[in-house]
Amino acid sequence: MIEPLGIGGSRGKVPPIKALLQLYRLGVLLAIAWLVRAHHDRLRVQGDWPVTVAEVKVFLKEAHRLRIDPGPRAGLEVLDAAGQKIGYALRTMPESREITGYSGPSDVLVVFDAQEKGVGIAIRHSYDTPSHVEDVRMDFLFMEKWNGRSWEEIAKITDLGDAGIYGVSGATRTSEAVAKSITHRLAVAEGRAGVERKLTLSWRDAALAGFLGLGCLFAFWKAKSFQRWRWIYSIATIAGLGLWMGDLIAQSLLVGWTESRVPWEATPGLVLLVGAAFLVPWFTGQPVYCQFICPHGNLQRWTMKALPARWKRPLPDDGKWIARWVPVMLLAVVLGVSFLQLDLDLAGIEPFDAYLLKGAGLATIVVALSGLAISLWYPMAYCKFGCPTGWLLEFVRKRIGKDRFSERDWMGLGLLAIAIGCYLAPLEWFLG
Amino acid sequence: MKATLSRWILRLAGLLIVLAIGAALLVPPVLEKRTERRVRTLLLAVQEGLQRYHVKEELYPKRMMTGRELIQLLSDGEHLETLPTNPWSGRPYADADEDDWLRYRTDSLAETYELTVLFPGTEEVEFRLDSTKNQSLE
Repeated sequence: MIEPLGIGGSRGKVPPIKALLQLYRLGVLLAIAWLVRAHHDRLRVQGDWPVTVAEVKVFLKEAHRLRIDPGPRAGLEVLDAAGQKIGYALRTMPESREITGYSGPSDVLVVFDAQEKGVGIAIRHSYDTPSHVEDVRMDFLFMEKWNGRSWEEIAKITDLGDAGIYGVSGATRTSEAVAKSITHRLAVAEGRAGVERKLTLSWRDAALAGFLGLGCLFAFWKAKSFQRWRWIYSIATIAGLGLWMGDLIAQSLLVGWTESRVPWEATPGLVLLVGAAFLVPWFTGQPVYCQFICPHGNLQRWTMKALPARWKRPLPDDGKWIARWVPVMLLAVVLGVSFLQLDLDLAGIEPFDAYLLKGAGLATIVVALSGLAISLWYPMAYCKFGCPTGWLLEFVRKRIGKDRFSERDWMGLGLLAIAIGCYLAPLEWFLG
Repeated sequence: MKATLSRWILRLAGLLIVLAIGAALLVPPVLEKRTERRVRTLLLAVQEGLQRYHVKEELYPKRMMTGRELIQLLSDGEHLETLPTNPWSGRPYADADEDDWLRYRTDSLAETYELTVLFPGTEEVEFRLDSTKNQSLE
């Protein structure tokens, strides 16, 4: 008998330990999500050519560190050694990529002080004619025209001449493009800040809420008179939630939301379903999504009834031990794809996109069909040993009875370590 | 004792297979991404070189060229700051036997240019840059 991994003194005899374990599990997932989000904010703000402290130091001598601003301005807060904000910096690319001079756009660094008054600009790199770019760089009158002007003042400029900003002689188009890329970048940020998000509800949201509500009822209301209808609900999830709506919780969805944001105003029903899928088992220990709502789980339950029980094969312990690593490996792949922005469709590692039928890729169909085929002999094999999304939902689930720091918790810690490693290591380490 | 050891060996072999599947999923897109980053760096260097060439000659190079020929031309004219790395081999762009999927062409008056990068082994365009509309990959 293999001893499970564990911490000697942490067996769940004392209730606070159990509560701490619950917090630990949710904390691990939230920490991974935060790292993914922070990394993507960094990529979004910094792009292919990250702004460095040295560049900003030219204008703000006390600059010590740059902090990503994930807000609508999408720039960098400039901090001094004490951590105090002393200014703000941003680059004009890629928002101003369409504004071209003689032969291309320029990436301009714009730096403001703590009062949001301009302290300087610098052309970082350019696709424009090098000699013209150099002319603009050397024209201090043009380059310093921005100093002392506020963010709002620059963002409002529509006529450069009216604002007293004139093109550089011999490099008029390049300098005008530089100026317009600055005003455009700041105006775009101001525009974003003004955008309001309004909650919109549609029949899909109502249907999702209905599936969720019924799933919870089947999970918690055990009256036989009600439970006997569960088979109808099971078929309804496969046909309605799966084949008709295609709204299954999948890694591609979770990663997309984590990388950008949760679209609560556009798809409130789906947000509610995902939130409940994590929080209901965390609070109650009842795996409501996996056991009751998931169309693929329900389809497997029907599939495993297709063969007589005597044909079923129990998976040996060693096989179970090995198979338990499969979803963790897939989650590590998901982290790699997200952090390195790899061209690998995450829909293909899970069977859920196969329910879209028309739009389904070959990989997802193969995963779906092979998972169903295996479940003929090994009941619910995909759910138990293949599903990375199910692994996450099970990871946070409150354990009934005694609880301890288990093998699964070590795996969660391993995933967090991978996320921390990917967050801290420069992309060049992986991508050259 | 022997039985336990053999079980652990079996489990570790199984774990290695699982890790190998993970590596098989991750390694090809990582290599693809690495090449893509090198291609982007190369294209920026070539674009800058072409602009310097244009300032000096007042026209872009007049004939269609492969990446190697173009880089040789720009390098000979000292329009490149450094000899760029061949994204497909990871070595300096010099060896004639190495993969080269960069293509250059210009219009009849040599006033505009177009740089295309093909998917290796195909005629399908992966990246397209020109001097008029698509000037940056950012």
